[in-house]
Amino acid sequence: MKLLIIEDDVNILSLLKRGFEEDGYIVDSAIDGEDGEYLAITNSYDVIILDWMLPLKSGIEVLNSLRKNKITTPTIMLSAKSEIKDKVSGLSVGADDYLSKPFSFEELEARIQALHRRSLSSGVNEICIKNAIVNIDDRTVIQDNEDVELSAKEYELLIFLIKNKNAMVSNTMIEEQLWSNQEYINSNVIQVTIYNLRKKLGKEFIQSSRGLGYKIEAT
Amino acid sequence: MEKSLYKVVEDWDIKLKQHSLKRRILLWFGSGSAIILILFSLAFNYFLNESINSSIEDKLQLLSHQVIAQNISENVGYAIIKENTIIKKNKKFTLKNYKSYLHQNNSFFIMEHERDDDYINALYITKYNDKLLLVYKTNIDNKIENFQDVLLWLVPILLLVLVILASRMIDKILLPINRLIEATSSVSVMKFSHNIALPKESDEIRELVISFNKMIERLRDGVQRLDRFNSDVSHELKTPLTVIQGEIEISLRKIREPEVYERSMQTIFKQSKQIENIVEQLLLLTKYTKENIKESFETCNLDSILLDCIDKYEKQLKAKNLHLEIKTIETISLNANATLMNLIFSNLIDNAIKYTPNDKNIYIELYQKNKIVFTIEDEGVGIEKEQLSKVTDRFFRVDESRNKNVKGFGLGLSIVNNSIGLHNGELSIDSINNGLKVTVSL
Repeated sequence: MKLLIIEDDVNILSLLKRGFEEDGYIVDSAIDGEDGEYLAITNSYDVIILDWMLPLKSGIEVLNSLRKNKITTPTIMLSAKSEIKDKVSGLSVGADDYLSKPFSFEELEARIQALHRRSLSSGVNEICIKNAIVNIDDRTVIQDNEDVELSAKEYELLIFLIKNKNAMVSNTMIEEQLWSNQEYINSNVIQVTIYNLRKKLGKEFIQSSRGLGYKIEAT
Repeated sequence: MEKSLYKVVEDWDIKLKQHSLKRRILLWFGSGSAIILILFSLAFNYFLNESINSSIEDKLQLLSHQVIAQNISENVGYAIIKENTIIKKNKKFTLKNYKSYLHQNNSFFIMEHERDDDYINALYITKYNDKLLLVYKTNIDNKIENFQDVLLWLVPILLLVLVILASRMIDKILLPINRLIEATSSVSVMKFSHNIALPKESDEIRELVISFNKMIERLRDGVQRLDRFNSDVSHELKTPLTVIQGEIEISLRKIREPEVYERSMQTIFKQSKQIENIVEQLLLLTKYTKENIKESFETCNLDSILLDCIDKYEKQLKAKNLHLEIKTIETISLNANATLMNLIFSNLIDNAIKYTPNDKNIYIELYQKNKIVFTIEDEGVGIEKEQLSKVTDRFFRVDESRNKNVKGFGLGLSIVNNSIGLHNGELSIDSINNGLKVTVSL
């Protein structure tokens, strides 16, 4: 899962980044509103974590302009404001969830997973595709009643392909989705990940067309 | 349900109170006018009685002259008495106990014991030659009795009319007060939304409404400031708390290398220091009051305190390549709280350094002329006019979304202002051509 964290306090940002990366998330970050908005518009993320009070452009303003630009990425707002009316005003401009500081990392992660699940499979935690069942909460895949062991990257790739099922996904799209902006990767790495995934799930599970990319065909 | 019941009771309460005011006014007014009316009618009755009696007396006197002149009219009784015996009388003289009146001559009596509701009898005694003439007239119209009857009815009716009119008038006077009560009872800390509509007449009630509206305005302002303060305090405290909790939570998720723990501990230590700092500054704001500040006063050499403060900031000045110029500095000793004086100078210098771009100048003056004056001028960003009055609010920072390039909580100027106030001084902040000029006069 790819996250964008927009938070101006470097200490909070650093601990969130560490925590999420440790759990296998791909994390991009920005420390002001304008930077964050730019990243959110130019990249695709699964969930955005947005602080309320930001320099240059407040969280509310960022959210407003994202929604105006038809970017509907699930967004959770963080704020020290904990009054009901603050929560309401945050949610009414288009935030999908609201968490007031200080918060527990575990709760934030659970909420992010819930948001992701909702956007991916309208709330169900299991996705059935072809002959496989993907459990989003446990991050496990079962194919023909047998567990399939996937690495974090392979799992992310599978989820990304499921999200874009019946559509061609290019190498560039995979690179953007599975690795953060700050990481430099060799295009070979993508090839290897795809190869491994196809080997584990079967060649017919993921179709490949030379030069175009990959897709999962399913009803 | 409960709420509506409460509201009914409250309304009733208001009505009752208002009625008691109305009742009090009516009571005073009613009894006052009753007393006046009764006194007036008594006096009127008395003078009317006197004038009626004297007119009867005049008439009888005239009749007595006629009797003496042997020119007797029919409708009057008379008797002539010589040495206590009647020597002559006519039919109409029906008075039996005339003897009891004889010792008085030249007198006039209304026969009180013969009085009845419609008529009165009167006796006039006069002396002529050596005889007494008694003129006795009966069945004189009892005008005064009629008048008294009328008064007996009129006074209560008049009183009733007056009270009803007064009650109407009081209602009319109380109407705007009523509205005021309604409007004021709907004002609360959460809801300052509406001012009360001004009455048309420019009277005391209007003044009351005006001053009331002003009060609402001030309250609204105060509550807003308080709200802001609360949210600022919570923000400033919650951010380090989030870091501390998060650091601990993430560190504890699995066994880690000692260096990772060490880094976490350092972050936690720094953040808790920050919380301590905020709390300490907040305490400082409330620790001293005008009453207890005097106990902490000692003789301070302001010039040396100032120089010490400037020394403290040597490093930061160098880092931004700022030039701090002391234009004047006089030797001044003052009875004051040294800690607070130090804080005033430090905070102001600190602010000037924070908000002045690199390679600029800061000017400082300290002199005594009537008052002790300290000024600090910078060539920084300045402050917009409408924000000047707010800069001393706790946690106020000019940039709403708190420019993180400038460290601080926004407590500095608030502390400065407070400390100066405790020393009966004044703080003034003015925007000048390029930058800000802060003047402290003690």
